[in-house]
Amino acid sequence: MKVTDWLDSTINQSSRKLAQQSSRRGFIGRLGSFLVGAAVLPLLPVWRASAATTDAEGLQEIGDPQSCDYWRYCALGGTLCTCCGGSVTSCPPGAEPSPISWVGTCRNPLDNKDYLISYNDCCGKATCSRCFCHRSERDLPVYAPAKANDILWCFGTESNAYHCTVAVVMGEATA
Amino acid sequence: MLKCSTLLLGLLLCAAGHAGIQPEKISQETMGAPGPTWFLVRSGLGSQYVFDVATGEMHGLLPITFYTPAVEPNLAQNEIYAAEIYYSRVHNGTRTDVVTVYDAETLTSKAEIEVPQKIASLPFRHYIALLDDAQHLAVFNLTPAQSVSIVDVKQRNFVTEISTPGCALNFATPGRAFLQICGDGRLQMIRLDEQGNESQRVRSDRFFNLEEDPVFDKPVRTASGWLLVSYQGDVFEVSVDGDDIEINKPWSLVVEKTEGELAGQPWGPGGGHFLSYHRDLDLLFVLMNTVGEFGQDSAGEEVWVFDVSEQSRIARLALEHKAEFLHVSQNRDALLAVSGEDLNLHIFDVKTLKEVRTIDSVGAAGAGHIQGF
Amino acid sequence: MTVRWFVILGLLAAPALADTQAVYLLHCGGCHLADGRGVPPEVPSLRGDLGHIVQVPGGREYVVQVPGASQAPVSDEVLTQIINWILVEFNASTLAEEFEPLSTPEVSRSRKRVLADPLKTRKEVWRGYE
Repeated sequence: MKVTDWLDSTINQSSRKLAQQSSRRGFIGRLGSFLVGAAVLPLLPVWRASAATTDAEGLQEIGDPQSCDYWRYCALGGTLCTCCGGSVTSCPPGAEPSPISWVGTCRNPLDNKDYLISYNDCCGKATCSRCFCHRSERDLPVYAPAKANDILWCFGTESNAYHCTVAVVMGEATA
Repeated sequence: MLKCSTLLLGLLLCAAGHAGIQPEKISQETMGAPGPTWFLVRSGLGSQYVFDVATGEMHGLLPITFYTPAVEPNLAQNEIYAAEIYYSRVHNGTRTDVVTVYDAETLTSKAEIEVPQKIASLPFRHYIALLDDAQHLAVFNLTPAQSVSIVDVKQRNFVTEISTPGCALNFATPGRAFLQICGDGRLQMIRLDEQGNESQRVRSDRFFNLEEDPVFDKPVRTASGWLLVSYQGDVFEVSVDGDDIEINKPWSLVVEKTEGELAGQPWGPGGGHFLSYHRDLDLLFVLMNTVGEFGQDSAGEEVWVFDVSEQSRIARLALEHKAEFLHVSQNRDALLAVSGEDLNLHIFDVKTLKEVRTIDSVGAAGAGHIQGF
Repeated sequence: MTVRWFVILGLLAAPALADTQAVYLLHCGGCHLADGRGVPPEVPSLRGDLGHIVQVPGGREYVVQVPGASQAPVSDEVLTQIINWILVEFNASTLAEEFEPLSTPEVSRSRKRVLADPLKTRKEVWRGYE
């Protein structure tokens, strides 16, 4: 089997899987097409380390989403859902996405633009204790909750048990 | 070896065979009164391990929940209070939020006071405060709306929830009152009446700029009030006189930004709970790092010791292992406990700044947040 | 009651709508959600009630002084933009026809006054608020 055949079949599988997950993410669905486009990122194992990936809406990214250094995690405090059966935009099985989050900005090293990143927690399960990260770019103390990552952001969920954190791109930051 | 049967005859034969050895009896300790060097050391988001850091011995375990931010000891009553969240199926199911009244000798729950299901989680020492009447307890809530639940620990009942939008944390201040830090750069004081209901609310003048140099959400108590430190190392001393919240002109932890041996080095305070104050010696201990911008959560490379009334640094202690938490005992022969990245608790003699002991095996996650009694 | 169309067009034309929406998402959307519905009762909805609140005495000041607005790390000018955007985007059906958008000087003045007890003020300002 040629490498290209394998790559094609893997891409199709990944996209299908992500599409299925997309339909369950009701709260993301409400945010509009630019967000759904940004979320579809086929992550091929052989490319994960440092190759650029491109999505339908033009968001180009680079880096390893299972590493604390990943550009989206510039203010993430918690464990990475990407290491726990989820992805940058999806919660692992059985963990409920919190509708409420805090939104920060991170710089994408590929295009040098700042993007809005929503750090939603996945909730209702024991903590997934893998890939703990604590980065603090523009993070503020807890009395300014809209910009604070030292808060357990499982609000509006059935249970506030913390499982892991995702990093959802909401669009480009302008001001 | 003779194998002893459970029959009486067998026992008599055994006794005859092993003359002089009587079976031991199992018993249960009660924890003695904590001394000044007894600390509660948290292992990650798990239980608190009670250590006498002077001897290195563990004396007991306080089984607080994952969500419990901190505990508030009340040794005069032999009690320790904790705001806790429980689920009927460990991580989900029916939720109950309570203030647990722990017995300080058995470190087990002896009473629970149910409170609104809004308790704020994650380790913050000042999410819980016993007010100076030793009767009313303030518990900080986040939903993410900010409020405070007031509990009467003597009557063992929930009194009221006070809405405090824009402000967080509770630190006790004289006159059955507590202070909070607000996102508009001010402090807020809320005073309670005898029943525990809000009787007054005042705000200070603005004293910091949230965008330029916010104050940390981790104040320390002094003899006359509270001490706050900003991201860039400014120290604010706060005291309350009646209805006036007095905040002094700040002094800096990092005076030598441009001159002297530290010129150009981006030293700044940071970590977890990185500040501790010794009241009698008037010494402030601060974990400092060289990360520079956005280093507010970074582990400390050194402990800097400051004489607060002189507003100057008197010592620097380089750490072999970076650290995020420290705590100093309040006795004369003070000991400083530091939670290292090696997961061990490192104990330093404050007078010599020499490490006198290392305590290892502090729970599965190692030594974390430290508080005293 | 609907807002006069020229008011809406005026607000949408300048400054750029996409910019204001991004600023809303950054400073408000995390809790109030992208469509402003919030998660009542903990996070108030910004849809509907605000249109009523700005019509009553004290209402225009109140919406600037609530900590979520007044403490947002934005200038008075940008805060004015965001609030007007929220009013038009989420409250067009409840805004009065003669609604005058908030002005930057007005927002500046309101923002200077500390609202220490927002819940109490909300009840006083708008008796109809549940």
